[in-house]
Amino acid sequence: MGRIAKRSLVAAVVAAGLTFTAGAGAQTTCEVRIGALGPMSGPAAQWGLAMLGAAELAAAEANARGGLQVGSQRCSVSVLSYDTRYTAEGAAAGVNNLASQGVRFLIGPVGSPEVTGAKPVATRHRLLMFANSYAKNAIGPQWPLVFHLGPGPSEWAPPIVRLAKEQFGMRSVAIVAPNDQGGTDIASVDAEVYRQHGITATEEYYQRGTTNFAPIVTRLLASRPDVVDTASSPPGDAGLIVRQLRQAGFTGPIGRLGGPGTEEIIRVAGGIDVVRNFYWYEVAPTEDPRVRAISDEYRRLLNREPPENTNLWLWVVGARMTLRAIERAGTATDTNRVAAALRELPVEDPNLGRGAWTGQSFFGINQELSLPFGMGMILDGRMVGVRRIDVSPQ
Amino acid sequence: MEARSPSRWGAQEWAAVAMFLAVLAVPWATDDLLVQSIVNRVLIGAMAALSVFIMLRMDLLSFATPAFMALGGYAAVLLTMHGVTEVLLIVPASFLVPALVALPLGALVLRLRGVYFVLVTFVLTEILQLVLFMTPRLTGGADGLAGFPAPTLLGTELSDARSVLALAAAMALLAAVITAALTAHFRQHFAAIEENEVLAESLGLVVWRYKAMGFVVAAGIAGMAGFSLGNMLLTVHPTSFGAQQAVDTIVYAIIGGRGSILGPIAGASLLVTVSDFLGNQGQYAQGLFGLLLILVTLVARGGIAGAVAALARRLRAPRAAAGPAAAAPEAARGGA
Amino acid sequence: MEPAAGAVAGVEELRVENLAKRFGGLRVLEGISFALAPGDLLGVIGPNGAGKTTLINVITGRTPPSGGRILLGGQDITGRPTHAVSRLGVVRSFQQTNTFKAASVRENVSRALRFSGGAGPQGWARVAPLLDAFGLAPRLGEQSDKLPYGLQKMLGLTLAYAANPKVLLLDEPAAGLERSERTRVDEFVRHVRACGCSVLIVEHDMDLVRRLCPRIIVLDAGVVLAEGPPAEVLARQDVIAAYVGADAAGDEAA
Repeated sequence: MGRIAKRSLVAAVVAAGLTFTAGAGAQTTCEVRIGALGPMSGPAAQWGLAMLGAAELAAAEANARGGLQVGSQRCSVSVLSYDTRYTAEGAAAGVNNLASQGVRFLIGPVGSPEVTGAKPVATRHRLLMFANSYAKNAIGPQWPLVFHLGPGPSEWAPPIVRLAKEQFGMRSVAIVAPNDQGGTDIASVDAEVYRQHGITATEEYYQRGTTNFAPIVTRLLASRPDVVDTASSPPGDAGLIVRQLRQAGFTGPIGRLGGPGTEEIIRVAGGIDVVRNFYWYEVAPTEDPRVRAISDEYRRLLNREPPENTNLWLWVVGARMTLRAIERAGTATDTNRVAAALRELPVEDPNLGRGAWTGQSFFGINQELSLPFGMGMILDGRMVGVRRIDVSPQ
Repeated sequence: MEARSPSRWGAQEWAAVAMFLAVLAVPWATDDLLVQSIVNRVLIGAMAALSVFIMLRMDLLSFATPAFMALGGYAAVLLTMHGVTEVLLIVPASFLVPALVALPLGALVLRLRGVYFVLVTFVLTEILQLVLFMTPRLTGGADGLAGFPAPTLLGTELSDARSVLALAAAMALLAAVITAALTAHFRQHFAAIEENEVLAESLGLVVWRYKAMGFVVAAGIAGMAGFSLGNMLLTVHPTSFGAQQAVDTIVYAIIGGRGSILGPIAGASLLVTVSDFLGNQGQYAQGLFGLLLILVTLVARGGIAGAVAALARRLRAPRAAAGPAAAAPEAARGGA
Repeated sequence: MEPAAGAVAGVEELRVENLAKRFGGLRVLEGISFALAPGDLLGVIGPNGAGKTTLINVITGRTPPSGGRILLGGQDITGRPTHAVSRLGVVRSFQQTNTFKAASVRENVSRALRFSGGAGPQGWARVAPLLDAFGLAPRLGEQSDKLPYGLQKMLGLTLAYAANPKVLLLDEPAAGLERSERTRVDEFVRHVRACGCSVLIVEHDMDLVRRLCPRIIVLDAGVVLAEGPPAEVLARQDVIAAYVGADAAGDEAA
């Protein structure tokens, strides 16, 4: 009897597979499928949803123009997505899943563990991937089809640390981040940059999934730092850390040389008065009206509110560039040719403005799409705003 | 000397092995990436769940499966990075390394029962994460290990999708054979420990010896699953071996049914497939797992395998209606 | 109920010397000494919490003693693990019904035989008279926890005997049995003694103790209060005061 149950299970699996094959075969009209791969649930969901939103916006823009011109064909663009649950395993499974549905271009994933898991499988299937992790080995010469949305911490940390030091004059910093790749790879670069600016830096790591930060806060404050930096801790975690730091009597400024999510941090921490003095790396110049116009465009084309995470604005550029490269290469299947076209594309976005291809010196390959970024600041409980910082080509 | 009664395999053991034999053909039966991907993950999940199943046979709920998976996975990958790529060597290594670690560990943790065993094995998985994190030079730390050479079989590289899946199927088959052999050979011993450990011991059963044997074999099978996972992902990474995986693996075994070797296989097949279709909503998969777990605990303690067996008995019942009358003379003979 | 000849060879004396057991500061057993010669039958009585079950636990290696020695045929077996003590021939039964619940009666017996190293036809031949006497023989295929309570209890005793004991330690074998069922305990004890086993019975049923035991020990708060033939010991004022109380006085009158 168990055998029969098992057989029907196998049959179900095979049948499901056949359905997908049939679906892929039934494409009579030209359709370019791009995949959004990232954490769609859990504490990092904001990042994944922003990425999905960006892919959807770029696809909607292309479709509003009447589709992509791929060679002699006019193709519509659709978006498929997969939840990685922020793990290497989930990302690898997602690449397989999306590839089996005819996806050749991936937007994402976002975290270092996911990128590590996704890269080899994507390479096996020869997918073009636009990843955005701060991993030290996020891209490299051995991954010619993997591109990176940048700049990375080695690019943006120095100007922010310089400006923060001018403002707050700190002499020491304690950096806190999750103890996995998504935390350590960025926190260690942050620490190095702080040290280069004559600031003593200590690093403190916690297990991802921790909800009680009291012991970590105690350890952080043990070295009596002038500043605590929450690096790439997920926004929810960072908010809790900020709140507990303030409850523990810490009055110094708090930095965030990591990811975006300031609104979420303010919410979790209990208001802007609690956060008080705060500076952070913002992936895009969020107060530039032209940049903000992306959200209006999203509302107009997709008839719903855009995801709140500012990563959206950055990802949109990656997705648009990918689609432009497909048009220029004249193929939606040969990813090598699309990659070659992408490398030649000038970085010039209608909303974000001029950027540059970088990465040669840090990663050994010039496939990092560096765009203008921002530094945000809250002073004495008042939102000062985000200033634009431009990147220079290498 | 103890005369062992023949450790005959039942229909379930043969069915389990036959299933994995059949799966060996899948790499050649389909080129569909999704089917291959799901089957590969089902195989890995089933192996890990078999490891949990062995421990459940002795009424021990182990959260240490990911820790042993990591030991096996990292050991095999480190071997390939040091030039040993022959699967006939690295597969046994992925079994032996965690098995050898489990031996002294078992002496410590197998004294515990019930919730204490659960907690300590949970901690083992957490400790392993810490060990990985603190040994970046050996294990790559938080970055894991990637870019290692593909395993080879007698000189032939097993790097294409088909050979990866075939290797996974072969390892799962091996795991099923080992599990079936162990649990069938010691069926009475394991059942006695599960049902009444104190009585078994006072009748002379050397309980720790069987527990240690089960723990060591379970660790070895988990280790093979770890290598299979690393081989599929082309990377061994700490996030693949965390507490979440411990929960998933246990859920496969319990929802599938802890009473039969077919249980963990059915559980992994169903839940891996379902969670892939719910791929875009990871939280729904978790919610569904939780719901199914509650359902199994409240209504169908035998899980899927148990429910199917019960249904089979129900369907057969009408035919056996004449049974008692026919059986009566036999009983009388037995009583004489 | 003829015992199978030669089933138990080389029966040895169990000697307990100055045994003590403390849990933290709590004294559970202190200075317990007695000997159990081959074929002997010793009753152990005492109020609840007197340390009777602890005494069995310590002798069978479930918990280590805090002091004293346990000797079997002159060999020191103190602190050995339960399975080793059992293999040497010191086997216990349990107060609660104790069987392998999900297993059939047949599987229960075969496990007991196998775990004690006595699987095979001789083992079954040795146990068969007991299975017949208790009415378990026609129910070999039944799941043990579906049996009536009294039969589960008898199966528990049979399992202990199946493990090929030289010394049997019975923990309240009559507890929970109907009055009519209690004579089965007598049968069991007679049978195992006929095989040359020595038996220690912890029991609350005074009638049973008087009927079966030529000699008894009274435990009170972990020490031996009195020792001797039941008629003599049970008549002592301190024993009545410590343990027997109104109930046994009533029993006595009846």
